[in-house]
Amino acid sequence: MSDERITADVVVVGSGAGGALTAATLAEAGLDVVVLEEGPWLEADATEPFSKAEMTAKYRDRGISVSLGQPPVAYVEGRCVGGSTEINSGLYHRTPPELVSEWRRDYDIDDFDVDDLAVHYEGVEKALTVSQLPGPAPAHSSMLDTGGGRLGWDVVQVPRWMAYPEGETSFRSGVKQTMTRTFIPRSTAAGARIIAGCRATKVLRRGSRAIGVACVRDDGRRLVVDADHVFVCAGPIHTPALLQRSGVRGVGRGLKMHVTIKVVARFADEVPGSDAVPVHQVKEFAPDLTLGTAISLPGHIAMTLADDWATNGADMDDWRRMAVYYAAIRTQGAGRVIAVPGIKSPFVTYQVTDRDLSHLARGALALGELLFAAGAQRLYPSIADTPPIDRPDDLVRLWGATTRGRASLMTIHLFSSVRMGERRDRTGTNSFGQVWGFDNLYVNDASLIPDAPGVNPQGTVMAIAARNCQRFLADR
Amino acid sequence: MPSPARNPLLRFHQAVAETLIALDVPDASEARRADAIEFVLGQIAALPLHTATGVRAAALTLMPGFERRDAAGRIAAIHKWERSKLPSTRLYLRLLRSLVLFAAYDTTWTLR
Repeated sequence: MSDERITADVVVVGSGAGGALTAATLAEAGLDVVVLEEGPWLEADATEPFSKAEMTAKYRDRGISVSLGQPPVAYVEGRCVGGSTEINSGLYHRTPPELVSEWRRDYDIDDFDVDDLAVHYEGVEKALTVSQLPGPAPAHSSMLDTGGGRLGWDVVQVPRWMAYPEGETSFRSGVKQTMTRTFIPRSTAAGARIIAGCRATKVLRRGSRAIGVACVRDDGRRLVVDADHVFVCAGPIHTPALLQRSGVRGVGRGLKMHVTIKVVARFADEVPGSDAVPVHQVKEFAPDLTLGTAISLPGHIAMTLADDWATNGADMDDWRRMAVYYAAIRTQGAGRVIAVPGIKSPFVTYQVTDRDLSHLARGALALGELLFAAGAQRLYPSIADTPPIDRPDDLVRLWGATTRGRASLMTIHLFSSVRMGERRDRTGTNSFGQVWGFDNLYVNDASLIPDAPGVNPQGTVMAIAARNCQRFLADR
Repeated sequence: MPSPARNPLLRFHQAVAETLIALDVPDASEARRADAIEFVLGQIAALPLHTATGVRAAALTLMPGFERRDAAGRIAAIHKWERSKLPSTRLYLRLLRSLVLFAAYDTTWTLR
């Protein structure tokens, strides 16, 4: 049976923040665009946010992805139309200006400064209706403000890409502006074709030109999309893996993460609204260390207590008085993505350094100090063999406990596996995402971000993607 | 998803998950237990190869004799694994326990 073939001006692999924006921008400019998405096309509200059902339906590997290394780092990615925008918290930041300058210098990135990016941030913020909560924040989030205020630390309320009905003040009233609610409909309205349940296996090439993408549908049928231009936006793990499988060298090294350690806090009273998305973050130590509140549904609390369930489990009856908090760091260590022939999932390694562990311990300690200042009565760090901490003086135990064998680490933020810039020895693409050695093959997702941004990365991903699309259209 | 009845490794994962939920969430209803175990087995079946290989290797070292033990013996084995010096044993137990607890405390059972 011969492969099914279709043609397009542009094929975009991946439909997350980078891919959906790329597809909409290029389709609205009049190009014939096909988007290939490995996961299913589900409505944004098809599953309850942060639930078991959502993990099963919308997460890659059903939510159990782990980097190899000691310690291993668990990570999650979306695998559905809209990508990780369908499953994340929707928090929005612009990139810290000092990091933009640092990256421009270190990777020799052309036309890349805060002013260059400003117009793209503004476009994204308008499209996603980035806004502050219309009323008070949920209690578990405000605990950071309370504790930070008492310690004199810098605490911010982070805006989200949410649409709030006029006159509503409840933090529950907003609708998250995921890609399936924004750039995907814009793409299809402009004529783009979205093909879900279709895994790209290889970028087809002839010399220095990409000529299309080979893929396999969920039912096993093969599809080839012949295209004049190929944009790979499959995320920091699968973008370099696809490029490697297609014979592109020099990609997949230098993977970065915001590595995170968690602490459950139990307060004297119930923490109402802990099922809602928290919005406060402590920026006192930013960008290298950020403290924040995590999703605190009972399942998340129980998972965090699991490191020492024999001791902690009995306290789970008090989950209505508990919430989950985190310390997230920019790491010195880095990782690698390695596509292995014949194996569908790439290997991902990550090296957490001794300095990183020390930094995480410092973060957990600062978090504990803040939570006690906010009124916490007992803390449960996600560190094995570490009994709950009932007094600030005992926080010092975290120094010795945050070790490779005991700390449970995770991340939801990955980047930097195909960096952009003019330094060919340190990057996989030029300053605008064009893969070195190719005339018409581009990367346009979080892989391009030169290093961990120290903030929720979707704003950075989308601003860079918009910038690169603008350059692509101008150069045509 | 392959049937545990025909797959000794899956049967072992199932036995460990059953023991964990009996130990960790003793008041769980039958429906809640069944849901948690189904979730654990589904998650394990979906593991990417490199993770699945590690899980399989850890399980193979722990399997011998586990299913023949009675409930108290299985709980004793779990407690022994908690104190194991082998990182792979502790990671295996941590994974299964996390999955069991996440499912058992899903909003289906706690917020409705």
